[in-house]
Amino acid sequence: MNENVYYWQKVVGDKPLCLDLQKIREAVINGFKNKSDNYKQKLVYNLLETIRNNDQKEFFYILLKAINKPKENYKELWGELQKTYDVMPEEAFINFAYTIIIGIMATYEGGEKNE
Amino acid sequence: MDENKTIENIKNPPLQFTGNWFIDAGILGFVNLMEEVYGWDLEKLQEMIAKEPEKVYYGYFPIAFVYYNILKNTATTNNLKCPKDYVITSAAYNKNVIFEESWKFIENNYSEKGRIPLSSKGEFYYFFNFLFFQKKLKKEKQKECFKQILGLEEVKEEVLIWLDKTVNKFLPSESKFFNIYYTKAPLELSALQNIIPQSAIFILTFPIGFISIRSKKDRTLFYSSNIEFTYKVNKKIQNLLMRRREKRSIFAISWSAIIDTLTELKSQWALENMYLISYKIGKNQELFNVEFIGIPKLQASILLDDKIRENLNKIIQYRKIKDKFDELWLLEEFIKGKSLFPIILSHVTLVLNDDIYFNHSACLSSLIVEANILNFKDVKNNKKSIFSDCYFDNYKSLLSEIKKDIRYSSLNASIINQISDDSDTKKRIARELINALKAKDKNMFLYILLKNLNEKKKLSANINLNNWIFNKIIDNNTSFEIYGLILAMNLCESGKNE
Repeated sequence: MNENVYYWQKVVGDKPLCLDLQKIREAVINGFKNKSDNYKQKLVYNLLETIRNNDQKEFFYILLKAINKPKENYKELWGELQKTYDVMPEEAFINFAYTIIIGIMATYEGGEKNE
Repeated sequence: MDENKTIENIKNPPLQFTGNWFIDAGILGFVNLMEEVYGWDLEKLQEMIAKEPEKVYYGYFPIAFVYYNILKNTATTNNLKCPKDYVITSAAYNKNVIFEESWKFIENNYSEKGRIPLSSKGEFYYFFNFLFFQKKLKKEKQKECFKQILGLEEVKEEVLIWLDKTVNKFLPSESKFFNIYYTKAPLELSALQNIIPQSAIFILTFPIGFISIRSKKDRTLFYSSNIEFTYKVNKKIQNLLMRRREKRSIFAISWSAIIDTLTELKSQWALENMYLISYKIGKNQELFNVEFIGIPKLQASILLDDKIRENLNKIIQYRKIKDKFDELWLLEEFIKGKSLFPIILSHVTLVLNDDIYFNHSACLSSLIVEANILNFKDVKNNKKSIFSDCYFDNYKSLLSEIKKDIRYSSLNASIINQISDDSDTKKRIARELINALKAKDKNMFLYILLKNLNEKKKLSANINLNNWIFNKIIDNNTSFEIYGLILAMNLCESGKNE
């Protein structure tokens, strides 16, 4: 398959940016690690439904609402989103969105902590 | 002095493959013939040719060819004089003198009713009515033909002038030759003889290079670009064929012969360009069932690993037609370069629906090998740099990647099994996941997986599983389906029956 379809690039000025999923995932883990499990579990359900319908608008609405808390540890994630937020082709969006979700899921209590 | 000469010979053997498989098959046939008649193996023959090439080509060869032909085609061979101990005494290095001596031996021992009873039966059917095989030719004429073949006389026989279907059935006939527009005619034998002086001999020995599998008319040859390797593998195949009476696929036999020889010679470079060529010759010398099976180097280097080979060397059921299960041999499909993913996908579906025996380790190895080959090719394609280190990187690193991945994935993907205690629930999830894979729908696959996983908080946060899903499925566009199937496989309850 054509790689370009997946590794969508966003051009800011004359600098192309690629999705660095690993970095996004780390930022999500750092941001969500102190939240309660029930809250995160519900958030994950809501986000999953929006990805299933490829509803990027709704996905970002829920996500941004959840992290719109200046006093909490979301700055790193903000930075990543600022770089990458855009309307993406479906394939790129799927990779991006599930990275966010798997990142949140990694922070559930009861599992080993990711250091 | 003598010792020096032998060492030199081994370094630079006179009999070498040319790269043209028509000629090379003939060279192998020549080696086989001399071995059968005089008992010289390749090394000894190389030595003989290096010392006295004239005696071998113009003295020993005609005798061997005539003797072998008569031996194979007459019922009563008791009185047939074996030339094994015969020594060409002509000291001269004159080709003609040597040939005269050998022809005298042939005439004295094999002549019958004014002709040498050469026959084009059995494996020589390839040369039906060719030159001296014709019944009407007397021995004088037969001698003349031989001289033309050996290059001792100018080629006059029409069938010998052009290299076309008459001399090798794999070539088109003169009138159908496709390069006729450029060259006005097919290749002339004399032109070929300028390059390889003995080429006409090798045309004659062409059929002897092949091995009979089922009948005399059904011939197969293992071919690689190295004479020693090819010779050894073919010899091994023949031995295996003789030892094993039960019907085993020629593919399985050749493969074990190749592995044996490789371990023996330790020459991995010989893996380049390996082929199995087989043909069947029928009425009017028409060839049919011609097959060229290439054995690619990539696949061969992976199969050199005992563990992986053992795992792929399995026959699995992959589809059901009218209550009958069809089977496939994974190794064969792999060597043919076919994708194993769809086969395993159907196998796992059968496991879920029909409860057949589930060969977990074979499936896991096949999938991981395939995923790593895909990634490997992808990386190579993307780098596009001829001068980078990885360009000349042979497949050793790939092999270690595969083994690492088998350990990593079998451990981490198996954690998914904790998703439920109920085997029906697990099967339901597995079915849903497999349906998403069949539709090649990554979104649906991850939706089903994560939705089910989200109910199990502890499992979701299991860092090994979580990392694995991220690395192998989400952040992977080349082979996510393969790893997805590995995950689904682990949900099949029967996965435990190893």
